[in-house]
Amino acid sequence: MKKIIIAGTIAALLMLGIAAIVFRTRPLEDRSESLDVCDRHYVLITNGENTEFWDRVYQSAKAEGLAHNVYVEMFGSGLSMAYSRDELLKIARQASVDGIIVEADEDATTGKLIDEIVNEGIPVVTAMRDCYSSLRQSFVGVNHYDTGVLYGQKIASLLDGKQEARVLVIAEGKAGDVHENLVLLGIRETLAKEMPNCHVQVDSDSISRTSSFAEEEYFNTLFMGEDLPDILICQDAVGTICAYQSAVDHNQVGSVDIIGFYDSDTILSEVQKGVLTATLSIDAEQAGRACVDALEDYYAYGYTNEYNALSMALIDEDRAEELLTEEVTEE
Amino acid sequence: MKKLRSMSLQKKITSNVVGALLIVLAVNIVMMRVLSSINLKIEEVYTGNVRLNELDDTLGSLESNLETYVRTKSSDAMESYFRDEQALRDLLGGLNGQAVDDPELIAEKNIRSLSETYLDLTAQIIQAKRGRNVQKYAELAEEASALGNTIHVYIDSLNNERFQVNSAIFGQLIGRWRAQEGTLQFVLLAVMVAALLVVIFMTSLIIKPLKDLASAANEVAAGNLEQEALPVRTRDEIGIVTEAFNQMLESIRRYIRQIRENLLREQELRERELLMESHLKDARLKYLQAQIDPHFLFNTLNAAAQLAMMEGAEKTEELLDNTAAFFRYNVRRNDKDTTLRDEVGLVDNFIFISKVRFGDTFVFEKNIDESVLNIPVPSMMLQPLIENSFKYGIRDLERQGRIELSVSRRDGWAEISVWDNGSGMTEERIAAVLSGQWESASDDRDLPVSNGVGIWNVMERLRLYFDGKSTFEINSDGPGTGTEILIRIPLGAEEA
Repeated sequence: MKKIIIAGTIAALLMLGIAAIVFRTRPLEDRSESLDVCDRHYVLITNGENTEFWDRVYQSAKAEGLAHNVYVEMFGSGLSMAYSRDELLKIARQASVDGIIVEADEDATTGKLIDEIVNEGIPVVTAMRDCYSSLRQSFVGVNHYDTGVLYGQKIASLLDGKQEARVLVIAEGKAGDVHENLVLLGIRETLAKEMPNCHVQVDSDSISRTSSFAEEEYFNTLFMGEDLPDILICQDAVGTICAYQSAVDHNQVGSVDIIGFYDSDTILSEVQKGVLTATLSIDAEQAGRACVDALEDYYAYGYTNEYNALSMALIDEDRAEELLTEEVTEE
Repeated sequence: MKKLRSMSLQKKITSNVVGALLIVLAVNIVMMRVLSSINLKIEEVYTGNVRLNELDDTLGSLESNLETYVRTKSSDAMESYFRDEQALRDLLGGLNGQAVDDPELIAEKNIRSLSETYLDLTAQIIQAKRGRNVQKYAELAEEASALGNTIHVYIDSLNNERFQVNSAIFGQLIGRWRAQEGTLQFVLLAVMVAALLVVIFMTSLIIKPLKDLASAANEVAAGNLEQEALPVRTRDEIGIVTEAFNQMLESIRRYIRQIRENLLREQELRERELLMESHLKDARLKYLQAQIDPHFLFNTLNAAAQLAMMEGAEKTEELLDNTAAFFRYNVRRNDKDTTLRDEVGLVDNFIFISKVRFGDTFVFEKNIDESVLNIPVPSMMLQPLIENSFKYGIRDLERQGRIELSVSRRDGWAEISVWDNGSGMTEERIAAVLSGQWESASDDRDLPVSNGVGIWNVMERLRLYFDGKSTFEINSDGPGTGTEILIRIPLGAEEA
């Protein structure tokens, strides 16, 4: 009889084991039940340029938002149609979001839209580029004059001993924009102060972005021409890549000092190799955090700092090597 | 457990098989449910896309009806618009409306919020249309159109996104289905094998007592009855048969004991009977030997007296020596067995004495195989036969009588032959002598010595002594042809 009991038990356990295997069917994810509901919904709207930089800003803002139980959406991404910044601002207002972070500029339409949105009770924070004339709650970005000073100092060190030179600054936005003017002012004042005996011609130009390959064409034309500047300053990541690629293609590396923007691995690598003389690095993570914090402050206190400055630095060849080495070590 | 023990064999086997079948059936049902659940999930995968398409269609219909209404102010268009509005609101109710960390759900929230804004706009358009505020409803219609397009873009985008995700899920489900199919086939096979093993195991448990019983029965058939009683573990048919077998085995053992005891008892009785028979045989032998003595003694003494009177010389002494030896032998051997050698010696004594009496009227010859002279024989066996040859054979012969004694060995037998050339015997007389019906009328007083023992006496004693294994023949071709008495005595293993 004991044997019968043992046999029965073994058989039962066997059956249970088999049943466990059979029932081992992982349920499909049920998103709505497994996710926490956030208190607010912010959106980040950009001009569609510098996507790598803005992606870092977004990731930082999203992480900071989740820490405050806020969901930050990269607004307009994943849509089958590309909308302009102003269209996205309008859609965000119609979608009744709880806060907007926007890469703005001094465009009047944009300012008007921001004003309408703010008047509807949706706080707006401008990032990297400000719409000073609007009712936005806060601006998060670098001081453009300070940026110009930084460029000026670097130019002075590059032109040491020269009597005359030409510097071409490629504007990120429209030429003549307040921001661009502030940058140029910073460069000129610094050069006048640092190199009073040197005649440096600082020119500004902008790229008419009528197509997605406009920048590449602009720099190709520039490097094909005779009138090359001594120093070329690019204020966006795509422009930087197009500029150094054209310099390589036209065998002009070394004849023009290119100061780029952004600190991606590709750009750092080019700085390390000497193709780029230096690159301006702005702390994207800090930018993302600051944008969300500004909106959170507004919700918490009803007001926030009108200006949140971001730190920046010019990365030269040595620093680029250090940064790349650090990355390799961390990996 | 007690119930299980007392369960019949049929019920046990039936429940065993039914149990195994139920296990297989249960696993089959479970498998079908699992596959069915995967089927349901596959069906659910694209439900989201279907809902979004429905939402898109409803929005399109609403836009169309709104446009018709704005253009025609048609009541039907109005009615359709309200129907679509309700349908759209119902569908929007199924979308996520909260801020959650999921791009798809955020897209749903955006669609819902934009759609609600859109419905507010359309309501304002209708209101403006009713109020005939042309400028306002024209502006609002333009805004609504743009927003409607945006919502379509959002729905399309989400639909595409969801389709891609669902395609991945669908791929997973198909993969899982295939994996599950293989797993389930394996599980089914494993369960079948396990169930089969359990059935075999359970059946072997049920059959084991039967095997033990068969083995025990074989042992019994081979003659081994000394085995322990089989344990009775169950109260089923096998248990009952086992118990009956144990009882049967015990009964057989008891009967065998009784038979053995009876045989022993019978053997004892037979031994006692044999002993009694032996005693009787001894008594009869002694009785017969006792009958011989008086005649023998008197005849011998007469002969010795006659010789003494006639000669009184040396031969008398020899005669007396032989006579003395003859008596001594009888006194000594009367109640004991002797050997053939001693019997032959006695014959020599008798012949000597007879020679004294009858002189050369007869010739005695003996032909003896010394190797058989040591065999034991009853006493007074040979001399009466010689005496008989004198008495009935050669005494009245005109010619010289002849008596021959031969002792020889042949084919494991000792052959003793006493032959005379005397008067011979008829067949009737031979038959009468052998059957004991004929005895001489009286003792022959003319013989020098006689022990008074007849042929039948000798024959009987030989028969008793050798348990009937000896043979006794009287051979004669009729009157005047002489007579031979032939005795055959079986030689023992030693003598042979």
